[in-house]
Amino acid sequence: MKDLDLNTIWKRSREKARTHYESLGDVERMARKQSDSILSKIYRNVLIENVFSVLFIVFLTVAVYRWNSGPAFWIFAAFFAGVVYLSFRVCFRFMRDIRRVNQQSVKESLQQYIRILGGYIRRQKILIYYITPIGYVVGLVVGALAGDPNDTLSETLKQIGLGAVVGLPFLFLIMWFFSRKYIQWVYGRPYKNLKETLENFEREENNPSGDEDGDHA
Amino acid sequence: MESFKNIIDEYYPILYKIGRSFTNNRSDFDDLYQEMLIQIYHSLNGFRRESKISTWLYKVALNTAMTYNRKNKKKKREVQSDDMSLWDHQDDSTDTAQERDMEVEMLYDAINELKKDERAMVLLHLEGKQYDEIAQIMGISQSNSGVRLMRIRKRLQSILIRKGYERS
Repeated sequence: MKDLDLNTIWKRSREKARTHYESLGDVERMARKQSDSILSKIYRNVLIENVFSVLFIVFLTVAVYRWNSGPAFWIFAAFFAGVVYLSFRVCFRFMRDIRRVNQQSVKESLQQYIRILGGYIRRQKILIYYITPIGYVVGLVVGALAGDPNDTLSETLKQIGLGAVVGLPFLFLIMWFFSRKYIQWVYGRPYKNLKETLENFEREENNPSGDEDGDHA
Repeated sequence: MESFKNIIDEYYPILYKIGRSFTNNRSDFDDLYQEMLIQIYHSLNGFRRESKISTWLYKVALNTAMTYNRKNKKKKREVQSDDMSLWDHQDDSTDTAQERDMEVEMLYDAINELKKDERAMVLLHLEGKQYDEIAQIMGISQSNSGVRLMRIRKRLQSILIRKGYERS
């Protein structure tokens, strides 16, 4: 079999590229638009989550101050400040990783992409499956404590227990069903595709002269 | 620091070729082309001059293409029916020019049949990159890139022959 002149055909594609080229002004306008990549979406989500978390913590700090401006406030304030500092540190590191992901080699970038996306999916699941029910129970406790001050301890515990028994299974079922669908819909397919691409990449790397069969990405 | 406009002005054919090699219809191509521009624009501040600008650009553009996902299935169905009509064809061109155009299209179609990492490697190879630079961009060893490229090239040729390409 003769070796086809792929390079000559390829050189012709440069002429073809010229016909597609838009003006530099148009190109710059296109580049300034919002990215549609899954990591950019995660980047924006993390940023929004952090802004809202800080606003919530500020609100909580003010609420604690109004309740007690003594030593209890300072304990809470120090705790909140620590939480804000840690969450910002984690957030900035995460965002820096996202920004750098495209500038690495193809293999490293794929690995990093999968690590970030996988980590984000796990984080979302933890948030939905564990933090939300805990938040619900904390809400019940706060609600019960803010109720009638004449209630006895056993009555308060009864209210909390009833709320938990009735609400938690229902809440868990709804969260589990919808969040699973949502995560699968938004992140599931890209995550699966990326993993397949990396697996194939590594398989070929370990067997560079292997046979020609295999599934196409 | 080179400006974004200067970089694009010099290297735009790379983006076109990567876009064409990783998509098979005009709509997906436009999405990917724009995404590559966005990623280059936002990554430019992170370019540390540790490598050639072209190597850096290949990395950003190829990584964007490798991780690119079609927006939705509906869109895919809409464009599937007239994939080929979405590409620019110059109706007033001569027979030879049209034939050459078709050869280029056929080559892109053949590249599209390869796996994603194979597309990236063959593209770099056809662009005239040496094994060491291909290895650096792909993140593999130099010897590995040589062996793999030989196999990918053969596979590409067999796809082209199956598609009816004959060497004149």
